Amino acid sequence: MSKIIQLKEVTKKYNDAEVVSNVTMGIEKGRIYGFLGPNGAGKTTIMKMILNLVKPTMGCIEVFGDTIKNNSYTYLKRIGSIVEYPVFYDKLTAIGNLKFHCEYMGVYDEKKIEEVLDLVDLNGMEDKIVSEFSLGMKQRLGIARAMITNPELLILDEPINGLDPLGIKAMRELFLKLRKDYGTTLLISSHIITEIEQIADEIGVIDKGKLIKEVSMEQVRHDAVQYLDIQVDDIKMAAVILDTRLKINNYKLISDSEIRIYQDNITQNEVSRELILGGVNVYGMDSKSDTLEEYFLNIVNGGHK
Amino acid sequence: MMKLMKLELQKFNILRYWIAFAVINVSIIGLAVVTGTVADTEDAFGTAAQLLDFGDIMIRVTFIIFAGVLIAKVIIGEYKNSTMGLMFTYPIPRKKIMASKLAVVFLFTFFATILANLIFGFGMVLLNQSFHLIPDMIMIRDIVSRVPSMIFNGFACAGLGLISLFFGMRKYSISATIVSSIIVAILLNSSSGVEMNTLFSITVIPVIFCIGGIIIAYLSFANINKADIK
Repeated sequence: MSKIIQLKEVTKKYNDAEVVSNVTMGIEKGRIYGFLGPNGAGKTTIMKMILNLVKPTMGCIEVFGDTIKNNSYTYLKRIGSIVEYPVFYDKLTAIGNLKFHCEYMGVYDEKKIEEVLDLVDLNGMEDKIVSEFSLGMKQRLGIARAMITNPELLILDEPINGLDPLGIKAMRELFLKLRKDYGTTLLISSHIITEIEQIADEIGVIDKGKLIKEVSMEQVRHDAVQYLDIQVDDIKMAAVILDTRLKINNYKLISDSEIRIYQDNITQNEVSRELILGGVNVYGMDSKSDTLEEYFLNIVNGGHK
Repeated sequence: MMKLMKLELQKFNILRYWIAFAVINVSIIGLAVVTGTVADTEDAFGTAAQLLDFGDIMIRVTFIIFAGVLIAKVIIGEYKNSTMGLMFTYPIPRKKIMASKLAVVFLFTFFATILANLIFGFGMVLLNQSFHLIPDMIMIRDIVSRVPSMIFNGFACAGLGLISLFFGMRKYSISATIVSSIIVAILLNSSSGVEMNTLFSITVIPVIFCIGGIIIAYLSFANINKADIK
């Protein structure tokens, strides 16, 4: 599959502070790439670099197969974006803002304006001045503006910020529809893990300017670590049995009477049989899998449990 | 380019500034009438040329500052409101965006200066008949003969008006933009002695000012393609 966006060893420094460090990442055509990381991790800076608003200190960025140079601009016609927060001409109406956007993008279709306002549920607000909009409404209008020109690539920075639960659901469906019906590639950032995991095909986890992990959601679901908690009376003996008889070495003592085994190729029956045979009383056994949230928190925290 | 300029005009509703233009004209004419009539011991203005020069200086000062205000609005204001970042996500070269904005300011200042001079001139022809601002009559031909210099000065003001961009762009400050336009306007229009000999009085100077203003304005965004947008 061809890469729509490719960052190669991109670094951005402001004075001496490195806000993006040696990031290499790729986004494939027709996929939803979830960009996950805490506030200030460098997500917005990377998005700005893709849009040529911020210039990388080192490394290079390719969009639609062409390397972005200082004076590149034609590729922007194929991108819709919200970066940081949606910005408007506050004194103009919603429809006025969309009209100017279309004019500057070089695409004009009166019907399309109605259509996108409808999609983000802002119909009836056309003639309202944007400064009277709430954050959620601005966010919706920003999404409408980004998609009005049918871009091949949508770059949305925290698009669900300020939206109510219904709005979040509607936007989620909208993003999935855009990918399915139009083959749009989406780069969506968020610090809310649960939101991203529901729509993304690929996930890039970024923290302190570094891309910590780039992984497909399929892989994530597979990897979300499973573990088995066992309560026993003699924990030392139990540990010996796990080591010697079951050849399990990936476990952790949680308390004086509880062991956690991180290995999913072993059944509860096997474990309890061997422990009982070894003279250890098993009081309880519980199989759990990490939620995706825990999985990501682990990645961000360097994998320390 | 024309399309971009048209969009700028619409976006900022620049035509609305013609109201300000009208107010400025009435004020300058009013000031001339008051100065001409209140100074009763001796005539403030001895000749038609002096009276018209007075208006000319007022108009130049006002519209150089006015250009600064427009620049603060259409360029610095866009940086302040972060809408410049939005503008730079459009498939349009950044320099072209800046040039179209400056062209709007330049043309507005140019035409406003000339038109204000004509309005002042004809206003004085009429008002002098009732208020006797100068001992003699002011003739239409006095005004017409000044048209070439009005055009030169129009260019000069329009060019000079752009200089404030250089100062405004440093910290994207609206007040720095306007203050610098005030300083430029006053420095270049202050007269030496009673004859109202300003730097503008020599024909070649306005032309140099105009070109210089445009060059300085260009320098303020020459590196815009390399700049990070906040």
